[in-house]
Amino acid sequence: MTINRNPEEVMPESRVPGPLAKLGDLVEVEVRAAPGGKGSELRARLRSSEPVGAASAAARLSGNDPRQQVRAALREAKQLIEVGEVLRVDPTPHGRRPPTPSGAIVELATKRAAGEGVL
Amino acid sequence: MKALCWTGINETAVETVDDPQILNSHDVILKVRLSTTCGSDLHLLGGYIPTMRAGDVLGHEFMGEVVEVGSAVQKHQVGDRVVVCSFIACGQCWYCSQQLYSLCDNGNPNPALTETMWGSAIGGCFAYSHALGGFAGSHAEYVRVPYADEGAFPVPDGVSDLSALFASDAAPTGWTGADLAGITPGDTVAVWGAGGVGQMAARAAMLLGAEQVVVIDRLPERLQQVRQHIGAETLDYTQDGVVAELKERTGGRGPDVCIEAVGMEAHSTGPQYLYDQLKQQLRLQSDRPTALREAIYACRKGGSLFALGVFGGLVDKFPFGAIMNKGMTVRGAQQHGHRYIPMILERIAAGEISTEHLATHILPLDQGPHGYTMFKNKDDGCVRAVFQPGR
Repeated sequence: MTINRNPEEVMPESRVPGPLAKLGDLVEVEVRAAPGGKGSELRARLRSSEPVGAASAAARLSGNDPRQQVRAALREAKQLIEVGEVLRVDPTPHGRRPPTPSGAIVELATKRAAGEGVL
Repeated sequence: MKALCWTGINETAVETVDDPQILNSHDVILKVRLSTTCGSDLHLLGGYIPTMRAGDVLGHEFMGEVVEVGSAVQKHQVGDRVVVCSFIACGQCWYCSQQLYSLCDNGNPNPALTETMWGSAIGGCFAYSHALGGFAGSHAEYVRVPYADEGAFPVPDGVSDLSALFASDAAPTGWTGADLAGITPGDTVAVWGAGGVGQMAARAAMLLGAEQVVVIDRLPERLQQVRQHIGAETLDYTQDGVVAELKERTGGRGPDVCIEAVGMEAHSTGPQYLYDQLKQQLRLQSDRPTALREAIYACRKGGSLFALGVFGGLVDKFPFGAIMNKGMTVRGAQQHGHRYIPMILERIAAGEISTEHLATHILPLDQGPHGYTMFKNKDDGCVRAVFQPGR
């Protein structure tokens, strides 16, 4: 994740940003300057090995995928550092939601939409 | 509160929904005074943009009065009359610092959806599917405005509500295209589409120094608005072959800059249109690039094309050979309104940009479904249907 602040602001005194600190030993975290005046690159690597191939797809679909947690934590950390808050959208006003198959798919996809960009 | 909701393909209905709440400290709640239809809504209504849900509140081009202010808001107070940019941007990320506000990293709470579709997540937008954040829209009595210090702009005293309304989307979108297309003084600019965005792009082109601006459409009332309120030339594509006529008007060169303000549901009179329609209805291609193809063909070699019309997915039979061999610059964007809206409001106040004429129909919110039907079918000379939730 690239963050529009310098590395000392992203990890002051090498403190891991809150959302990533919550993942504890699941990840190792490091920060370094991004080229071209773009701020910092914050990296979080899963300590355990990642699933590959069919197991990878299955893990993503299951909703219980540590990679999604890491990605979501990185996005949260970025927003907290750049803006001070994580942008919320729920609850939002809406009309009747009749249960439909496509509606269910959109709802499921949206629930995972703070995670990785490959659903 | 009452709100106009999408309920199915080409169906809308006014429903009673919860009032919006302050969710982040940078939010304001706006009492909506005016909220207008936009051509890009038609793609939502028609089911061409994925991740809509029945019950979503529509409307992304609006202005109103602040009624509640979040704890971290500094530039607004209760009672302020503001116009709000359709795109939601934080002002703090790198993209915002580069004034590429529709690409904001922090405006979209559902980034994985557009990251999957397009490779990167773009910013958030009011009422433009869950892929762009799932924010409730402004065809309602009240709307929640996130990052209000960035996205809500005070309306100068000399500017009416109706004039300011189009500074939310149509005018800044037009400016984004004209500005980023690289118009140099003396250029000839051709704009495909005489709707709100096309008209505003044409006006922006003129104010940015283009010597000759031609707007292309088939609807007489829209072409008349261009002549009367924008001051540009017009071209009716049902009367004249566009490529030939543009060559005729430019000494055989073609326009220096072409701006496409039509989007994924383009209409045309040729056989290619039938092909595109069929493929789109069969969902074998998601977008109809009819006007885009014509612009690529018409543009002078070495010229520039800007895609302002909304596209969502994939197009077929795309003349990439023409682009590559003619040495063209092709660029596109959603509006970077935060960059332009204050300047646009000043120009409206100074009489340099006319926007009120776009509001051909002003209706109470209860007539929302009728408004969209009229707008979609271009009935009764409709250019924009504007809703007044208070009525």
